Amino acid sequence: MNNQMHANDQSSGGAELSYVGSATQHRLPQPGGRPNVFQGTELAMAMSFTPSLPYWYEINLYRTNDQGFAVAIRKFFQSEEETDWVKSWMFSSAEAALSHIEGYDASADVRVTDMNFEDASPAELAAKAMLIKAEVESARSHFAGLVGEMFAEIEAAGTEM
Amino acid sequence: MDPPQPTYHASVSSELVRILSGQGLDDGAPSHSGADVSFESRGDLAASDATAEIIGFEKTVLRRDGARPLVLDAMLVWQAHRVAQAPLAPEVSLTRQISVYVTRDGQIAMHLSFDPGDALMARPVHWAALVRDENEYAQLLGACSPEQCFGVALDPIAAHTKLCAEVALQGGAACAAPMMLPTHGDIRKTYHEQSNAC
Repeated sequence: MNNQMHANDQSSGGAELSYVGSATQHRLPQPGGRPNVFQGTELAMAMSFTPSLPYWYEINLYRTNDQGFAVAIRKFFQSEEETDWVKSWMFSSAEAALSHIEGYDASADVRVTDMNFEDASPAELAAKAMLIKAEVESARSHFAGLVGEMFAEIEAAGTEM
Repeated sequence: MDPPQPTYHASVSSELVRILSGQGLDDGAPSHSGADVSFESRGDLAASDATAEIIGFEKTVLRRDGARPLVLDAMLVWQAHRVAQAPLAPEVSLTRQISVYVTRDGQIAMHLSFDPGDALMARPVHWAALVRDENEYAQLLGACSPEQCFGVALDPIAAHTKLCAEVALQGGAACAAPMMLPTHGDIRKTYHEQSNAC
């Protein structure tokens, strides 16, 4: 549960396609620091929403009015018991922003659910470890597919122009 | 009831395209000499399951998951695919495709994909890389697993978990049957013929 980094930002509450290309004020939480507040336009977005999966990702790339770049990665949950969250980062170049998207490790987003490890039997610990390993692989695969989709769309947009 | 389909979606503004124009999306992979490329002999370009309409060098975008696509000036020299069906659900299929390209400067690139079709709640997965030698080729094939198609579907609440697992295992094994990949000599020959033609 991450109550500090809620997925809604001041501008959109999860990017809508209509926001791409329009200047807006954004206030995005960042890990370990003050929120990133900037005025800018959304350059690209990608989302992996799938109705029957428990969560999906959204990636947003912004250009700030001071010629910087911002990346936001959101994770949304189907369950109302979970809290959606957003992380953001600022960059001085588009290349740095895109590289960050490529290098993002979604395994860090896998949560270890409640379990009393001290009292668990070895068999329970082994089973839990297998489940976490599967969730890590699933998260990485899920996010990698979305990154591939985003970059393929960027490349296609460049070809069309 | 049909399972819901993955709805991965991306949208890009023209401003981003303008920003990136001139620098492209190539990841700047190190340039390799084509001289040290070698494959074991596994057949020839006339393999029954292989087709390649050689149309010369052109801008080629090879999609891959988790990274920017490989953007090459290359020509397709070989392509083949296999389709496997789930024994208990013939409407469910898994397609594996391998494509081999040669760049204008003689490097060999491969694109591999698994497409789970429309009947399952899963998405296609893509791999692409420049391959310098047999080891890199084997590494790419080894990393190319159909299970990744179903990684997001193998959730305890997913209704099709069992079917996905079956297709990943049995269909994947069928798809992974050796294809009649072109030999190094075949690729080099095609490359030189096309280079001379240009």
